Amino acid sequence: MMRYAVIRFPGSNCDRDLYNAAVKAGAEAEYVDYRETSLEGFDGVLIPGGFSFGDYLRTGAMASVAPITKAVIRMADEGRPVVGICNGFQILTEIGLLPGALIRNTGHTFISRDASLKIVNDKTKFTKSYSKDEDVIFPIAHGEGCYFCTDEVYADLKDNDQIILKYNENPNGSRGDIAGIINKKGNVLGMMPHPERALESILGSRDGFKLFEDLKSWEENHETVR
Amino acid sequence: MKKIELIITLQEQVLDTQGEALDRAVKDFGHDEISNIRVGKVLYFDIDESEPAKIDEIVNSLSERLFANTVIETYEYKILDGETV
Repeated sequence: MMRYAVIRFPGSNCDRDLYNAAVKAGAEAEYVDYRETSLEGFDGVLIPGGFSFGDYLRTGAMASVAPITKAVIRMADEGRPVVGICNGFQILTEIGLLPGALIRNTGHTFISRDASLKIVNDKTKFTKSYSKDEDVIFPIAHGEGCYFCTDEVYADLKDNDQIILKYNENPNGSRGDIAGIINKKGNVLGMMPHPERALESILGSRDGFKLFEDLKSWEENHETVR
Repeated sequence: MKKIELIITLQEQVLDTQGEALDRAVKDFGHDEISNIRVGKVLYFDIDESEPAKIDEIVNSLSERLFANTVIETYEYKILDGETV
């Protein structure tokens, strides 16, 4: 059974949704305070959305130097799943676990609505239950979700199939319509849209559920990393 | 003790939406002679160090690690005249 740490920073506000999503999919989850320094006993990390540390300095900047961060980096180095959603994605780029940066939406406004997206890589451990070019609907809610990277990094992302999720209609100016990427090793995922808010058809979309099922079965379906 | 002024701005190729909005506002005032507004931030801090090489090392190291995100930003600093207490 995969046991996930849901990191809570001051200003995190999607922590309960993320916890709920993991548990609903059959995984174990537990909240971990940002002041902790160890993630022993956990198989993976989920970094929720929100406005950690009030977005002081830059989104994700303060969280990237919080006490728990060294343990998150260790988990990533060990090849365990590390997922950052929305502010979590911003934090992962600030830490340097994912390339590029998230800057202010080109329209300068905060956007909160459902977004139509495409799964562009179904060969990752996170998107195993999806099929290639499958359209999904996840809500987006961000002011700084415009993915920025250099030409070099962009070529790299494409060459290594690290782009896994794209907007069908680019809402924020992200380079190459990028909504979610993984690291080269394939165990760190960052995405701006919120799959944890897409678990029930009655609330608009259930398309996010499979991602959490893939997280639940991370070890069963794949070579164990331990 | 020295006082440092650290200026952080978005790199040239990074879109500055705040700057663009200000550009438009200034034009609405009739100031067509103003263009290319870029918005940055400035940090002031005291450093208990007087040797320029050491100051350079500390300020650069902290800027790269936390104060600036060098993927999208650049920074420059100066040591302000006059000692602070």
